[in-house]
Amino acid sequence: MALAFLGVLLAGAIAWSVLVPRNAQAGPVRAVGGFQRVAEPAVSRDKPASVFFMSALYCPFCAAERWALADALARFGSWSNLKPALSTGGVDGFSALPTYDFLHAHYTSRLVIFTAKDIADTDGRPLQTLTSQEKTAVDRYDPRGSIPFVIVDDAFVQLGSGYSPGLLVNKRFDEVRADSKRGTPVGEAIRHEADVLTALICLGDGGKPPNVCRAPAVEALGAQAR
Amino acid sequence: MRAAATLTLADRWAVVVGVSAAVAAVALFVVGGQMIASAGGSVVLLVAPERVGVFALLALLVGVSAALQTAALRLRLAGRGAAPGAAGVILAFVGASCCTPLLWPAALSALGVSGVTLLGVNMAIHRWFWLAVVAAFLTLVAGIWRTARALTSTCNLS
Repeated sequence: MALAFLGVLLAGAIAWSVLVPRNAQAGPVRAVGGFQRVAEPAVSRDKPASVFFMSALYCPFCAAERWALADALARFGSWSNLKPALSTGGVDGFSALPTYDFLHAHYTSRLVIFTAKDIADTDGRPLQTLTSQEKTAVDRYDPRGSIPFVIVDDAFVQLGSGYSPGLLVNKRFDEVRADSKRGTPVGEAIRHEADVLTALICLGDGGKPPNVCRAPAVEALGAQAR
Repeated sequence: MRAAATLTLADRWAVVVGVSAAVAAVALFVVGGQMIASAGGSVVLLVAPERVGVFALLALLVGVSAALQTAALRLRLAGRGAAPGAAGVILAFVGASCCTPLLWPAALSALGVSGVTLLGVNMAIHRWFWLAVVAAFLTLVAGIWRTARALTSTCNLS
């Protein structure tokens, strides 16, 4: 009887949490890819766009998203000390996946302010802490505390990765990096997610630089997101 | 144990409740246990063999526990035996709660717990998953043993 009660209680709680959206902004709408528009993008030609990425070093979905983020952000600025890393093998059924290490990397850009927070290490131990502003964003747009969490220009939010980490299984870092420049399935997936991120950044930074923001694929995705 | 199993299997309702509880546990694990994730707007099923095995075992134990308790309770209601045993019920409840650590985020989210707090809960669950699973296994087995003993004493009395 106790088990039946517990089952009903949990089923109800889960159904409630799945069916009732808890984002503070009423009615977030699907924008493009896995992103939802939670606010109107504040288009400005004077201030840089902002990108916040919350992840954990063990997480395979975060590993997948870092490839696209690294590619997209390289179109707006430059990376230094961006080195290979691995997610933790066995998490969610994935082997250790190749990815980038954002923890020790530096990103500089006049067009984008990028903040990455790795909240846990490869063993799940707490690592970096969130600022009060970042906590507010998580409470508002990530009510179930899931990772990875990406927010572009306080207007577009994605929970989870833009493509399946399964595409990275049994691949080495150099293989994925080479694939990302070719038309392989993993290369296409990374490029598409990078284009999605690029389109959203372009909406926020006033379309700069033009050679990036006016690329046909990016313009088409930007039109979807508006 | 054999007498308890015979009594339980002879009770159609106990079997139905046990099977239903096991199926419900599997469904809860799959839906609420982060075995389904979103990637690029499509659904990805996360089938880690060790996790599937653990969930199948725990779901089986939940089913057995529910069937035994139903059989004991029905015998008690029919005035033909002892109560199922508070210890068995409590242990089963603790075991079922403990074996569903991955359901806690969904349940806590429904109760209005903040995203930042749930982030911490998710990290703790990731870190202590196997400890929670072992605790769940032990308490469920203890609950089954206590309830089976209560059923056996019922058998002896009648």
